[in-house]
Amino acid sequence: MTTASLRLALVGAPNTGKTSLFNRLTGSTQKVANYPGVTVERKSGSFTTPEGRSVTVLDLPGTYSLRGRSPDEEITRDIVLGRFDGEAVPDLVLCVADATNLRLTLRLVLELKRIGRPMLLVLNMIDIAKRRGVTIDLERLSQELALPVTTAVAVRKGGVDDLLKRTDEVMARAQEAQAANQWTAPSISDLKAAQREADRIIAAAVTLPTKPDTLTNRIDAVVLHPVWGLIILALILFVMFQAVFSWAQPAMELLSDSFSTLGQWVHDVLPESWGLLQSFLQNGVISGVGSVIVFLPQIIIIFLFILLLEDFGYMARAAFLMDRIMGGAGLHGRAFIPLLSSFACAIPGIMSTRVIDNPRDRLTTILIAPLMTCSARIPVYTLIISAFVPATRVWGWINLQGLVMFGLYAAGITSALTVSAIAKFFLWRDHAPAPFMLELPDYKVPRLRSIAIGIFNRAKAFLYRAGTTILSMMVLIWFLASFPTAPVGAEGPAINYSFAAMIGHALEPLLRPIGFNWQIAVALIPGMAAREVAVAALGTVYSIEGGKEAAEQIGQVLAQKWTLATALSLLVWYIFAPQCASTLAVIRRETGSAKWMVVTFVYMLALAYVASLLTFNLARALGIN
Amino acid sequence: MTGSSLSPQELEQRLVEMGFVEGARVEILHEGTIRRDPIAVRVDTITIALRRSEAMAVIVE
Repeated sequence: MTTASLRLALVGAPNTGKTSLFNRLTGSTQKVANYPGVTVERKSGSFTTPEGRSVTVLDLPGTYSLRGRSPDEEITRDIVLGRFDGEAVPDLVLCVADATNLRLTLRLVLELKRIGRPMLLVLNMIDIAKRRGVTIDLERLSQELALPVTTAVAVRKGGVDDLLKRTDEVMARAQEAQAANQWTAPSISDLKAAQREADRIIAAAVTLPTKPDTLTNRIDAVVLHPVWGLIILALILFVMFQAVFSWAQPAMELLSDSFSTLGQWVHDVLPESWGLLQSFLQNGVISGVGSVIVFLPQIIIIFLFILLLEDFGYMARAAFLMDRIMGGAGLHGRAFIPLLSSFACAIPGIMSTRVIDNPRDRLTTILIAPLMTCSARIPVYTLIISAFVPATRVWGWINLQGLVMFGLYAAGITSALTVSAIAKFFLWRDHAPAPFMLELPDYKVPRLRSIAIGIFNRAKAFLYRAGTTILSMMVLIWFLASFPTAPVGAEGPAINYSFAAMIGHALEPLLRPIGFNWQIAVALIPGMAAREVAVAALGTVYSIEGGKEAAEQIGQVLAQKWTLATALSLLVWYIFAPQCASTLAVIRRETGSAKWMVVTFVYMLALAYVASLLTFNLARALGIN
Repeated sequence: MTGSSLSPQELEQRLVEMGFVEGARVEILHEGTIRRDPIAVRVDTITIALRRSEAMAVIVE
């Protein structure tokens, strides 16, 4: 019995239920972080064996071989080989196999055996295998592989009891199980030989049912049908969007109201003489963090759908259906769902790009995700459109306001695809595009516990960011909008005397060519916190009092003060401009460096400026004033 | 000539890793909407989705 914690590494091919097993073993002890210097997620947790051994589990990225052709796979290889700086070599390698589908995993097992670490093979989803009539002679399999073999049902309570017991047994004999590392990168003939050996072992130890499972085939006949498949995909997306926008609405309003009540309460509780602290807490901390946390319900719903579809086995199918369509713009089929999520908010969109294995495809998707029209742009678009675009009908039945809104969405999508095609041409010209080759796993009933843990981890990551990076940016923006304070007896709103106003005035000459006055420039600064904040900020600089109903008034004032050319220019600005500090913070975290955050900021700013410049001048040339 | 962006060695290695080895039974199950690409192929007991440009490298008897 040792006091030090045992290190166990989970290794397995994709779709073997490795994550469910990890969730079952470690439950709420999980910690999600990043490996230093790379964007790969490091998931660890712990459990205690029946004999009282404390075990630290590291969930390594899924892989078909130890060749390491992506950063994820390199991490798996380097950690099991003990080559990874800062990670100790695992005491036990737990290789996870899908009991219904041993072919690819057994080849990986044969490769893993060569590293000489104590190893245990666990046949996961044994319940499904039994139900399908797959019989596995465990003793024979163990004999053929010269490895201890156990079974598990990761999604059932008690489904890993035997695995825990076997961990103790294997660890008690760990010394003998250790051997010298003989692993070298396998050649093609090694791979083929290993696959033949794996197939021989399967033939010896596994009896497949005479009648294969046809349910997956029957579902796929519809879901992957060239026409019906796309219709079903569209329907799923429609439901997802309805859910994101309508189910989340009450929760978002509740959160938003709670934060403003809390802010008001803090305001009322503090004495008037503490005006600065009052403003800091109410306008800086509470409303700043509140404006981000308001998106939590949408983020939870998006991830609920993503994780459900992933667990069911549909995500690989969606990638299959969209690959060719997205491929024209140089995007991978798997980029589809992250980009779609970005219509609600770029933050969960960027977070969900983790489903894309290839780092370049993933980066391209992250770069263009902020161009998708997120829900925070809607208040800004609505304000300007309702103030400047008449609600007349075009060709008798199309509402002009709706048409402009549609145009803004279309412009966002078109520009995202164009940027992707350009990035592919300039950034990755010398790199071969990643081929599309992925396993379509059999359909499985999604397991709620695993999904709940997944959502919980995403929500935690989001709140953690809201509490750290985003909070500090909010405080900075509040500081700029509040200092220096207005002199005694000053006229007009206090923000007109702040750094934000100074920056606004300083920026005005730069922004004049695109038709922005200094008031717009000032509003854009707090608008960096979250796009929709610009609406309230415009209200403040034009000294409009009032709460929720103020939007209509702001619109009326703007209609008098701005020309149509300015309004159109601002609309176009909002399609492209990187007006969201939170998104930039997430890009920094997900790409693991400030470089891509700066790249995103600069390219979006440049696009915004050029597009607004063209719009403003074109509008004026056409005599729209 | 396969039309794939990968070198022949790399492509062969990846196909082998996905279970395309001599003697495996393959069957095309589904085809994509645009130019019937990509395709879903049954390889013994596994279904693999891949583009035709890569699948061209597989010799079927």
